[in-house]
Amino acid sequence: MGRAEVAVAEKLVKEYESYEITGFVPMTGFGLYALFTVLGEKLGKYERRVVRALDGVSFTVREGEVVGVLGPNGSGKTTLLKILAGLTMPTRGRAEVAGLDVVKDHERLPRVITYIPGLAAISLFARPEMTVEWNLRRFADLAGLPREAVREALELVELVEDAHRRVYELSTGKLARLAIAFGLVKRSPLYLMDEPFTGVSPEVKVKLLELVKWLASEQGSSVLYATHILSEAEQVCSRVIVLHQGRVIADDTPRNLAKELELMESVDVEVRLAEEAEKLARDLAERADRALKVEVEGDVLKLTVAVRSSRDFVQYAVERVHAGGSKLLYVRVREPTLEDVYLALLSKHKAAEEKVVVAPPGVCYIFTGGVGGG
Amino acid sequence: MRWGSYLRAFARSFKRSLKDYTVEVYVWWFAYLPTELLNIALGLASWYYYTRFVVGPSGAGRAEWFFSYILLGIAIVPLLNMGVEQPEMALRSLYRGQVSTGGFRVPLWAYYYLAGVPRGVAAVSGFVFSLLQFLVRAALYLALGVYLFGVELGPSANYAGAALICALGFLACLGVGLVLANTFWLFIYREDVHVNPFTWLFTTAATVLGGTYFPLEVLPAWLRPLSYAFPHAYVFEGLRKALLRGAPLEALSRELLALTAYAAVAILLGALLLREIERYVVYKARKV
Repeated sequence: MGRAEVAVAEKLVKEYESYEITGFVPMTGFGLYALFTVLGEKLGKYERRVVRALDGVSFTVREGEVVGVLGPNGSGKTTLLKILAGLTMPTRGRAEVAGLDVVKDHERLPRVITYIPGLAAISLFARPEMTVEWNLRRFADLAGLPREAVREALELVELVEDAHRRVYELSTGKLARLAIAFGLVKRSPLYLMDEPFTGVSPEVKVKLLELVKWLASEQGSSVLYATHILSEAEQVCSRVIVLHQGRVIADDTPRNLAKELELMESVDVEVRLAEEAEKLARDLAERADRALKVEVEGDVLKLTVAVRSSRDFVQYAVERVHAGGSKLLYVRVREPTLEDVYLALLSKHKAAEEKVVVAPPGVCYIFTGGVGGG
Repeated sequence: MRWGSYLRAFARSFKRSLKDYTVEVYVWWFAYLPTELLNIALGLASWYYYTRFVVGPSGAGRAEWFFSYILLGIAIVPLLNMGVEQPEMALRSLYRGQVSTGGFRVPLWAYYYLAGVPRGVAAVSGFVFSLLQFLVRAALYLALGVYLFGVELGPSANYAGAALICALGFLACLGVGLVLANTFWLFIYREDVHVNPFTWLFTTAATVLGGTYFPLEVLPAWLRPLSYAFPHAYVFEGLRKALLRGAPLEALSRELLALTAYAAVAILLGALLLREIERYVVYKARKV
């Protein structure tokens, strides 16, 4: 490691006040409504509630790291990013970005962060009746940035050809790219991306995810990437922070988390049989922790098993197949996916909350791909 | 150093307002500018013929004087009311946001903030831009009144005194506006209210009771003290004295003194309250 810490969050707490009308409040229109609502509050027509969005959140992000912030809806991802962007204040706790305290150095914070709130950036930054380039220039001018920055941002998100199109003419995918371009006009040590690629088609998403990686690897920037689309996080994040009900329930690489949760790898084996299929399948399955699928098609045995150590199993499988005179056609090892990790984490925490015995290690998932980035 | 960066941010923010305004005018130029001028001209024509009707054919000369009297009221009152309304409106436009994708609330201040323009600077630049717009509008009223409808502002009109009265009157109204801007944090912030009832009440009462359309002497005696609670009353009395009667600066001392005191107290009180209440609400009550 040895890289500088770009963002530090310590015991962050964020509470929101909400009010619920519990009695009749006359709707008078014409602004006098405000007076009545005040009176309503005084007379107890409003019930005040406090919702805790973040609860003692702590973590660090190092230079050049892409860290995923995962969690279900309402887990506090957006609140966390808004605090680091200076768009909302923590109730308690401390957060620093590039050495700046998000509360004390609030005014200087925009110099070191770029906040990309996905399509919300369009409502925030753009006048839809004006062109793409005009809108980017308008933001660049306001931020005191050079015009070349606009051209570079357009090139990075491949919107050069649409530069003179009006914003309302753009497709959802291009709007998402424009939202990213608003962020890229300003280069920063920390990018805060809140579900930035919602509505983007898969082929464009692949390019944009490459761009996120490029920001970290080539520009040396750090990226905090909030999403609930796990395949995106899997592709770009070297580490993930999982939030659940405002608390950090995991902070590690997906691979380490999988290990910690004792999630198993899956192994697919295909064998051209020269012996009885049932016997070979039974021998192989006995060495695995669980057999997930056994199929025989003609003289080919197809077997999928879940194992804690794929190395030991594969070594045994090779020896056993040869010993029986059969021919090994295919072996594939798949690590637990981020989705497996995420679901296991959530179920573990839900179980702990409900005081139900946690599912024992060895629970298997249907694996669909490998863990990336770890 | 800090003020230098504020000034640069102000210049950028002002340029942004100008750019947006230019776009609006450019996009709607065929309707925007002619409509604006026509609106002022028709408003003036209504008053012009109304005064002739009220005075009648025998009142030669009096209709012109009455029209000049009214013109000073209707040209200047939007400027004064703008001073009252604009601080709260600036706050409302900065903090009121629209809900976007994923329930994300995007207030305008976030746009300025992420571009490195502090909220206060954005509010002030928006205010200055509106002030210039209203100044141009007031000037257009007066210019069209003089050149289109032959208004005579008195042979020895005291323009410097009138300008001073207007400036102090505007500052007094701005002070009231700063005090009333606190109502946004105290009552409006959570509500979906598009008109602030407090500033509305003040400007409406001030426009009617402050002497925009008639001298305060015609009001019942019990109502007059209330009229003098509004800065508008001193502005219109002083303005008409200076422009219609050519009163020198000494003759305007009562109005000048009253407006100076009004402005000093209201601005200090308003700025102090606004700073403390905003600080409390934004940072301590965590409502950003």
